[in-house]
Order: sequence, then structure tokens, then C-alpha cells
Amino acid sequence: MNDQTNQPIPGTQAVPVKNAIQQGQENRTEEKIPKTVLEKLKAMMAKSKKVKLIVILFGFTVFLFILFIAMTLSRRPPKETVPEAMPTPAPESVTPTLAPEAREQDVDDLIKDIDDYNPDQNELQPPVVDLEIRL
Amino acid sequence: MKRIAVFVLTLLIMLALYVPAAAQEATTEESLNPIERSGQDYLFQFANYNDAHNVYQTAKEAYQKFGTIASQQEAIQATKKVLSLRAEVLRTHFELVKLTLIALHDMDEGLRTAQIGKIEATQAFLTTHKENIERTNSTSEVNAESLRIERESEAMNDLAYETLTLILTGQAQGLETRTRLLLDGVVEERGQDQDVQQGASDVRRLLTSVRVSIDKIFGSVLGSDATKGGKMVSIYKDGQKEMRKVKTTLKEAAQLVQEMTRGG
Repeated sequence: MNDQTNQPIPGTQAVPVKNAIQQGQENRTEEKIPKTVLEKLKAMMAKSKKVKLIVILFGFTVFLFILFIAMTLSRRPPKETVPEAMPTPAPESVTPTLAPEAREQDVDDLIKDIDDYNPDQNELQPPVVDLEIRL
Repeated sequence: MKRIAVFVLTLLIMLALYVPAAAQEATTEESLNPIERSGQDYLFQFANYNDAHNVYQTAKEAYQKFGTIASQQEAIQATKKVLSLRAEVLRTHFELVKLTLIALHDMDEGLRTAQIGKIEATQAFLTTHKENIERTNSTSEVNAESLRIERESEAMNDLAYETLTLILTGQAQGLETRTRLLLDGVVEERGQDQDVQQGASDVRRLLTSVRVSIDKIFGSVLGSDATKGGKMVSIYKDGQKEMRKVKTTLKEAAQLVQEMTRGG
């Protein structure tokens, strides 16, 4: 039975099975068929300058779009607007428990705020407007 | 094809440069706090008012000189605009003062609410006045509407100076409270130290004088007839004088606390 199957077909040459497989593999690697879209694109870009240009422009547009989205999201304002009724803090609970270093910093901040305190209140002065506007 | 590509590419580069610049500009505006934004709005309205006032004066002079219907109509329009902007300047100033008052930490909540109520009532009056101006069509109507503000101007001035005095004393009171709390912290930690005891006594004496000054001005503001008849300006001026001294005293007290803190 085995002898029959191993006989070559009349008119052909007998080739060992191992060699046939190897030959098939070699043939397959020689065929340069593009597998992915990227590869296809690369192939097209190599062929045409137009395609290359379109691809660059498209990429740049996508980059700009992402940039725009990122900017828009990053500048979304926080929800707070006007502090309608600012709660009075309970001061007793803040300072006495401070560590010495933190207290030193607090004293420095206090001195700075005292320096900034301006009894002239220039920016808040009532406007001087013409009160006798008439025809 | 090449030209189009270059054009499109240039356009995209310009867009790429514009997007971050625009975002940065918007962020700068948004980064302002409500008080700063309100201050900018007030200054903007004030600049507009000044421009409109110049136009109004020119139009009024032309109307008085020629007395034609055309010059009259022009003068009415210019007056309406300046009146409307005057109301807006006053309204935005009250808004700025109101937000500053809201931001004060150490202030009696009842007093703050009452003051905000008065400011908002005045703002509502100004808004109504502005709407009435839009409806005027003759010189007599325009003059009548202008007169309404003239009649209320003293009360509005009193309200503005009353609020400014409250802010002035409120800010000083906040600084006094902070100094006192920091002193308490030092005393609690190093109260056994003879120098600290002496220093604390000095600071308390200074802070007491600060409290007396603040209470004095505060009392003047809350006095029953103080807010009537344009007296608030003089109370405010006295307050400013007093608070300049308070500032010096507070600085001295805070520096003593600093020495005590570093002494440890």
C-alpha cells in the first residue's frame, strides 16, 4: 500500500517532500503583498508625490484637531464664579496647632499682608461723575 | 497642485500658531478672580463714560448754538448715552465694592448681609433708571430722568463710603485676629520663657490699641444718623487716618511675634 502512494505520477520527477515545503516557503516570502493599511500607504507614497503630500496634510490636520480639543478641554473654567456668601472661618482651629516652621511662614505671610494693607483704597474710591447732565 | 499644497500648509501652520495663542489669552482672562474681573469691568465702563461725556458736551454746545431739530435730536441721543453709561459706571463700582465686601473673612455675617442688601437695592435702582433712559424721547424727559440720579446721589455716595469704611476696618480686624492667633500659638508652646511672656504682653497691649481704634470707627459707621446727609465721607476720611496708624501698630506687633517665633 505504502509503495503505491510513494510512486511518482508517470511523466513527472519525484521530489522529496521536505524540499517541496522549503521551496514553497521561499516562493511565498518573495511575494511582497502589502499586509496592513500602513504598508499599503507606504507603498503608495513611494509611488506618488501627491499621495505623500495628502498624507502629510492629513496627519497635520489631525494633529491640529487633537491640539484644539486639548486646549478647549484645558481651559474649561472651574464651576465657582462669585463667592456669594463666604463662610467665616473658625480661626481658633487654624493657627495654634501649627508646627514652628509653619508658624514662621505664617508670620512672614502676615507681615507681607500688613504691608499690602492699603488704607487709601485707591482702586475702590467712588467714581467722580458729572451729576448735572441735562439739556 | 504644488501651490495649493503650499497654501494649505501655510494656512494650517498659521492655525497651529493661533490656537495656543488664543487659548493663552482666554486663560489669562479666566484666571482673574471675580474682584479683579469686576474692577476691569468698572474701569472699562468708566472709560466709555468719559468718551460719551465728551460727545455729549459737543452735542449740547451745538444744540445751544444752532437750536435746530437735527442738533436737538443729536443732543438727546448723546445725553441718553452718557446718562446710561453714568448709571453703568455707578452700578459696576457698587459691584466691585460688593464683591470686596463678600471676600472679607472676619466680618459679622448679619452686617455683611444687610450691607449687601442695600448695595443690591441701589444697583436695581440704577438698572431701572437705565431702562427708563432708553424710553425717553424729548429734552424734558431726559432732564427729568437725569434729575432722579441727582436726587439720589448723596444717598449713593453715603452708601459707597459706608461700605468702604466697613471694608477698611474689616481688613484691619482680620490682620489683628491673625496676629493674636499666632501669638497664642507661640505662648502655648513657649509660655514658660520669660522673654516670651514679656513679648506677649507687649503684643497684647499693641493689639488692644488696634482693637480700640477699629471699634471706634466701626461705631461711627453704625451710628444711627451717621449714614445720613453726606456725613459718611468725613467718617471714612477719619477712618483712613486711624487705619494708617493701625497699620503701623499691627506691623510692630507682627514683628514682635516674628522675633518670638524665631527666638525658639
